Formats: sequence, structure tokens, C-alpha cells
Amino acid sequence: MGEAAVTESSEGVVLELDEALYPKDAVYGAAYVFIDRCYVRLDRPAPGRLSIRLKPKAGTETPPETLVGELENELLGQAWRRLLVDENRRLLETVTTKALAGAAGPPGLDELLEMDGDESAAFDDPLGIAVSWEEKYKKRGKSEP
Amino acid sequence: MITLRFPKELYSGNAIDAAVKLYAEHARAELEQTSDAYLVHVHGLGGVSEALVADELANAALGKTIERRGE
Repeated sequence: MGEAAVTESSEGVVLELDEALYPKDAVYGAAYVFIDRCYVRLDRPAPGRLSIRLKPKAGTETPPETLVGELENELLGQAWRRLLVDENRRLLETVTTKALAGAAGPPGLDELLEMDGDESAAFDDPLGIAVSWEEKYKKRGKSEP
Repeated sequence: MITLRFPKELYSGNAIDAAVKLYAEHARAELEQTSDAYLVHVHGLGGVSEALVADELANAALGKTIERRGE
């Protein structure tokens, strides 16, 4: 049985659902929203299935069928929100890293001095392109071949 | 006496302990556990509705379980 099932009794209304569609985190999130208006109980009636029982508190005038509708909406919202968070986690991590790096500010003089590496490596010119203008275009003397 | 059953994979044991302590003034509770659930036997004290205390205790256990997730 994949879809949600609703049963009503004197102990309130029970919504049974598939955990593959509504992860446990979404169920907790939705249950928490109702905790001020209802007595909420969670149970596992069968493997892969979760049930949420809502028993309205005294003074709650919302009919049970409305509560179940609101619970289903909340479950859907919570599940969708968690899906978006998971999908955007990498993007959020990248943005946060860049923001933290930017907050550190530009490097100071001391940090630049600490950064200078091997001097011989800095002047290494394997392709021979670091030739000065004067050297490249100087007039050659008669004595030169 | 009312017996509340909390599946171990859905409720935190520490949260149930905290909820029992919270309502100690209104109910005496005996704790027990099976392989997959915590059982709380609730006895109302001082004329307070046993069912009401049990419902409130169960709500507190769920609330504290959710609040303590991620700690």
C-alpha cells in the first residue's frame, strides 16, 4: 500500500503513510507543528510505514478531517523543503566558503612576505620568453657574427 | 493505569525520561522496555485525569525527542 490511509476513532484520527514518500524528518517536522493543538503520537504499524495520531486538545474546534488535511499539506511541505535543502547543499557550501574567505579580507604585507617562495623558481624561464626589449632589439655590432 | 508505548526508533529514551520527570507531580510512572519499544505505565495522582496526564506526557516525550534531534 503506497498511499496514505486515514482512520478515525474516539482516540482521534490516524494517518498512516509510506516512509519512502515521507521521510522521518518530514514526519517529525509536521508533527511538531500540531503539538500545541493536538496530542500527537507516532507509531510504526508495519515495516516501511509510519502512523501519526492526532487527538485534538480541549478547546480545539477544528474538525478531525480538517486537521488531517492540514497534516498532509504540512507533510508535503516538509518533505519538499528537505528535498530542496539536499539538492542545494553543495551550492550553499560553496557560497558559504566564498563568503568566509571574503570576510577574511585581502592579505597584508606580512602575509605577502610569508608567501614568497623559491626565488630561483620565480625566474625559471624554460620557454625563453622573459627576454628584455633592449636585449631582443639591440643593434648588433660589426664584430658580432 | 494507562500504558504508553513508544517505538525506540521514533522516540528518544532520554526525552521520555525528561517527560516522566516533568509530570512526576501529577503521575507515578513505571518504565519498562522491550526489544523495540519503551513502555511507560502511568498512574494518575491526586485526582488528576490519568488519560490527560498520559496524553500530555506522550506529547512532551515527542516534543523533546524532536527538539533533541541533531544534538
